[in-house]
Amino acid sequence: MTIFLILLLLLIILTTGAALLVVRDPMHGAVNLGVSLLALSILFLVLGAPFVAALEVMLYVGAILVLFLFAIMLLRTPLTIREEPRWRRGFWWPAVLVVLLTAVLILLFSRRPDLMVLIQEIGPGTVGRALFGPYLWLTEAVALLLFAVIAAVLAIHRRDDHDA
Amino acid sequence: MTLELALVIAALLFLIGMALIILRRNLIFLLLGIELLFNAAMVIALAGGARWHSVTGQVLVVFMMALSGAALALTLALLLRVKQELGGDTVDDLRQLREEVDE
Repeated sequence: MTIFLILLLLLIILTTGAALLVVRDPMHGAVNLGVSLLALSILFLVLGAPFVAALEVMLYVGAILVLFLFAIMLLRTPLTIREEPRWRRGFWWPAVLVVLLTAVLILLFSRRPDLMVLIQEIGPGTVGRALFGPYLWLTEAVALLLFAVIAAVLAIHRRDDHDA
Repeated sequence: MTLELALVIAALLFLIGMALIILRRNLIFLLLGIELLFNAAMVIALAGGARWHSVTGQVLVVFMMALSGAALALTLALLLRVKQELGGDTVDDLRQLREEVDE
């Protein structure tokens, strides 16, 4: 049963990746990437990493994808409002994606105990003890790096005022 | 079998990300491709952690998430700046490094 689930995930990643290669609108690309990331989080759960799976949903779908949406909105060329019938065009692809994700959910919740037979699950507690034990200096370095990135982004936009 | 399929998925993600970076002209799609590359690396790290029952894979993935988020924030800020300065958001607008001297 786990094999079916992983094959389904592979199918989702393949189709959304192929869609990423052909779509024209960046917003459609962001939606396809989001579905691909959701499938990846299920894959992380199967690989015995529930903490990373939760982080994938929260960080990637919740933060990075929203960052992409903001950037697309800010970059967008002036809107041309197209009148098109709501239910005819552009509806079938999201429907396919929703059906695939629903199939993943059904597979995941119907045979849950099967998943953890092969792979030993490593929970959040162990990860936390590793992060704040032997890797504490690295965690602090990442904090410093994020602060530096904030400063750099502010610096990039500060030059604007001097130029203008 | 699960781990082998996970590695296949990672290879697939890497190929798609590379194709996005090479084929698409739009810089937004290039950044999406870079995110896919990061995700392929994360899948491989998790597969390794699952194979050897080690927590190190997950720790590596957490740091990779922080790194990719930091890189993406900086690159998107640069992208907005490019749009302001050069007026476009495709690779073709980034052909030159030096400033253009008109006179």
